[in-house]
Amino acid sequence: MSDKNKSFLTGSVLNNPVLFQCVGICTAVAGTSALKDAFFISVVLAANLIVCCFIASAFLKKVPRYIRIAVYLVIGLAGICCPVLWFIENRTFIELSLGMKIILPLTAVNSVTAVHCETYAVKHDVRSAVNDALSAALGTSAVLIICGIIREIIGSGSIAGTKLSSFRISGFAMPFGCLILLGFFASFLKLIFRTPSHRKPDTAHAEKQPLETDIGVETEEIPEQVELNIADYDDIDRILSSTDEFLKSLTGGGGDSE
Amino acid sequence: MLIFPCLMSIWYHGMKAVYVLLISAVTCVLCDFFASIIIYRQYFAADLSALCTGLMIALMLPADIPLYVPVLACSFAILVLKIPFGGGMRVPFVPAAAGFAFVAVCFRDPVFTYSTGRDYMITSSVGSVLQSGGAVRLNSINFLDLITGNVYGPMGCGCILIFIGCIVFLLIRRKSALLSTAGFLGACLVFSLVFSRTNGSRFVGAVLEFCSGSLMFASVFLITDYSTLPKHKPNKIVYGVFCGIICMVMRHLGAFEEPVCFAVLLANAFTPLLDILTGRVIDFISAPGKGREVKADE
Repeated sequence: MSDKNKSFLTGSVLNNPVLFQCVGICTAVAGTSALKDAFFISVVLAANLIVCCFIASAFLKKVPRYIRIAVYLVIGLAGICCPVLWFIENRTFIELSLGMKIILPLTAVNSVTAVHCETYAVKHDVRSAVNDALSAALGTSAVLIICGIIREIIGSGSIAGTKLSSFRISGFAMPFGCLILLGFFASFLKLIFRTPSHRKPDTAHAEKQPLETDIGVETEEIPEQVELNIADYDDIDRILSSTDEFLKSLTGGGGDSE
Repeated sequence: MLIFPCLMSIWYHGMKAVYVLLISAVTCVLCDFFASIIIYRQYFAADLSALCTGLMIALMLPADIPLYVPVLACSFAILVLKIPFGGGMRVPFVPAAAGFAFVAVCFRDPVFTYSTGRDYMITSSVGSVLQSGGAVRLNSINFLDLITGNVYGPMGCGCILIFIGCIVFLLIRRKSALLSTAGFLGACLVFSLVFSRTNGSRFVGAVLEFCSGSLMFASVFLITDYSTLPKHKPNKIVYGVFCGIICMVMRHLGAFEEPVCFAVLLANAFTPLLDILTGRVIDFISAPGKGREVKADE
C-alpha cells in the first residue's frame, strides 16, 4: 500500500474523527435517527469540511485564528448549509423533518471542520489539506450512515422509511442509543486494529485485582529494584565510600556515633 | 437477601414469576460469561454479581411481562454497563437500575402494566393511583395487604415486611451501607409528608408512597451497591438524601410511574463529584500545612 493510500486509510479509519478523536458527536447523536437524515447530514458535513479545509489552506494561513473561526462559520452557513437546505426544500420533492431543518444549518459550526482546519489545513499545503479533509469526511460519513441504518432498523423497525417489522426498541432512536452504538463501534475498531500481543487472556491482571473485602484499602506499590552496575565504578573502595556517604546522608551524619 | 423477595414473588405470582426470574438470571450469567470470553478476560464463576443483577431486574418487573423484555434489560445491564466499564468495583452505575431504566424507556406499556393474578383490594397499582391526582379512597385500601405486597405492582417489590427485615440485616452486618438507605428513606419521608399526593392525611400519603413501586426495594438493594457508594461516610448520607429528593421530585413531576431507577442513576453520576469535594474539604480543614511538611521531609 502506498503512503498516500495509507495516510488516507489512517485518516478515515484509525483516526476516525467521530470514533477516536471524539469530535462531531453532537452531529452524530442529533442527526442519525434515520438513514435519510444521516445521509443529508453526511453530505452537508463532507462538503463543509472539504471547502473549509481548502480555503483555510489556500488563503487563511496568515489570518489570525479568531477571524479564521468566523470565516469557517460564514462559509459553512452561507455557502453550504443554507443553500443545500433551500435547494432540498424548493427544488426537490424530499420532505425533511422539523428536526433536520434545525440540525442541518447547525452543521456549519460542527467541530470536525474546526479541528481539521485548525490542526492540519492551515499548517499544510492545499493538496495535503484536501486529502486530509476527504479522508476525514469519508470516515465521518461512514460512521453517520451506519449509525443511521442501525438506529432506524432497531429503533423504528424500518429502513429508509420502509416498514420492516413491528418490533422496535425505541431507545435506539433516542440520543443515548447513538452514544451506545458509537462506543461499541470504537471498541470494535480497537479490537480489530490492536496488536496480537494484546490478545492474551488477562489472567495476570485479574489476579492483581483487589477483592471486594479490600474496598477502600490502597495497596502499596512495590518500588522498582535498582540494579547496581559495578562496572561503572573504578574500584571497590569507591563503591564503599559512596555507600558510606549515602548512609550518612540518610542518618543525618549520626551514623558514626551509633 | 434477594432470596426472600424472590420467594415472595413466587408465592404471589406462581410459575410466571419463576419464568421471569429464571430467564433474567440465565441471561445475565450467559452475557457475562460470553462477554468475558470475547474481551479475553478471566471469568470468575464464583462471582455472583451477574446473577444478582438478573434477579434484581426481574423483581422490579411485573410477572406478566413478555419474556423478551427481561432478556433485553439484562443484556443491556451486562453488555452496556458492566462489561465495558470493567465490571466488579469499577462500574459507575448500578447495572440493574440501568437495565430497568432501559426497558422502562423502550417498553413503557408492558413494564408498567401489572399482573392481575390475585384478588386485590384496589384495582390498579398504588403508584398509578397516587399519580392520578390524589383521589384515593382510603376505605378501599387494606394496610395489611399493602405491607405484605398483596397489591398491584412489581412482582418482587411489594412486601414491605421483607424489606424491613433486610434493613435490620443491614443494620447488623453493613452499617456503613445503611447510611445511604437511611438518608434515602428520610428524604422520601420528609418530602412525602410535606408534599403529599393524597387528599387524606399526610401520614397515609407517606405510607402509600413507601408501599408503591420499588422505592423500598431500591433503598435496600440498589442504593447499597458497593461499587457506586461514596467512600466517605457523610457522603453516603448525602448520596441517599440526593437520591431520595430526585426520586420524589420525579414521582411528582415525571412521566413515569416509578422513577426510582432514574434517580439512582442520576445520583450515581454525582458520586465521584461528592467524593472529590469531600476530599478537598477534609484536606482544607485538617491542617493544610501538615501536608507540605510531609512532602518536605520526603
